[in-house]
Amino acid sequence: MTHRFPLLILSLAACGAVHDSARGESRWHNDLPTAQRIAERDHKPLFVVFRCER
Amino acid sequence: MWDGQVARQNPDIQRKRSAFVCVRITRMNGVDFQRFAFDLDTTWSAFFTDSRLNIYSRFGGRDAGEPEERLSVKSLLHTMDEVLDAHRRRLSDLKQDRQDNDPHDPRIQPAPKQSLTPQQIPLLAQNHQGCVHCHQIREYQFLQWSHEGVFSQRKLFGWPLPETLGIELDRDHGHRIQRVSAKSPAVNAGLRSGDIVERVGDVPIRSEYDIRWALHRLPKQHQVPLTVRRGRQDSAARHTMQLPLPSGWRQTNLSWRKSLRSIPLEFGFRGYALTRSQLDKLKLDRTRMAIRVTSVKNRGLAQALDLHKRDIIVRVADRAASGTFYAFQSDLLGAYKPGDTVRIQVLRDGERLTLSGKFPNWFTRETAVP
Repeated sequence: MTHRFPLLILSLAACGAVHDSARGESRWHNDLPTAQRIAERDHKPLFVVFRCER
Repeated sequence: MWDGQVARQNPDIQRKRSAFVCVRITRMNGVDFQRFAFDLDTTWSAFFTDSRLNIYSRFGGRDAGEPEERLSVKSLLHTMDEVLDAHRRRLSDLKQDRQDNDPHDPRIQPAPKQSLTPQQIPLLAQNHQGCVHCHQIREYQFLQWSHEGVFSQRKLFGWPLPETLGIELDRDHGHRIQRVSAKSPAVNAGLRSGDIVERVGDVPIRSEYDIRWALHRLPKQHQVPLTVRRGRQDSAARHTMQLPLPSGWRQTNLSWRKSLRSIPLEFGFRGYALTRSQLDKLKLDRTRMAIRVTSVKNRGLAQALDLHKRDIIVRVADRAASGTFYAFQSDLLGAYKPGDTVRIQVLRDGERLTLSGKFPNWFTRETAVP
């Protein structure tokens, strides 16, 4: 049973919308245009992760 | 697992991520995989870009070993620091009007002339619905190239490993040379351990994956210019040298690749690697591998070689057979191309025979990928 917990976290992460601002974590966006607009506004670079689940 | 570390578990990566806008993409539909070029057989790759998707660096990559062996948190943090530094410098230049958003800025990686999405591969557009996985793009490319008659051995091999050129990189840094192999192209070029690779051809380097991409995209040529920083941080000097590219330098072990199943070649047989006890029973060297042929169809390479069911393949191209059936296929694909004479050694009914025949033309009947 103990190994199920990290698997659950991963499957949530795979949905592409990991958001945990309450814990001060950076949000993972799941669409590039929105992220580009925010990057332009905030003068930040983008960190784009491709995670292929098969 | 690596993905979990990056997504949320590692506190150092989390802190560093706050300086970036983070995006996570889990399906390739609509993705320009020319711009976001990565090894499509891998399941995790990352890019660092500006808001216009000019690429500073890419991070990821694997080899035939464990999938995450080449990735390290320290090297990712290192790459993130270098990207942030380059981004701040570019922003500062833009503010002071010293530079427009120049697509030829040497701090960003060269962009492809055209975009390409999976749906622009005709066979994929015709035959695939729903989520497109990374490896499926590569497999559909194989099928498409084959049906268009433009497939080649070169298209099989990509993302070359620095080790092939005699460069072993520090896994916790990413692009600092840890060791240079004796009698290698790297030592001939004058590279030394401790050198930090800053540029390969026209690609600025901030990770090992950048080096692999820079090599991957090279047209056929015999050498590539490479710039390194050498010496202490405060007194470092830059050196540019020509790295020779010997024949076969692009080749890597293909055995781990999902796309191996869609290579347009009719092997015409299947088999498996013998275990040590099976090798002992046959009085074969247990430090070597041997492949037992389990089924043969009267076509393709099996027909060309007149291979029989129950043959045991012990040598390929004058080398001992590789560890697994897939590694054996990889060896064949690296050693031969259509029209070449293939030579393998087999044991048949206790007798050692050399079989030879023409390597068949690239061909597949398949038009779709599972």
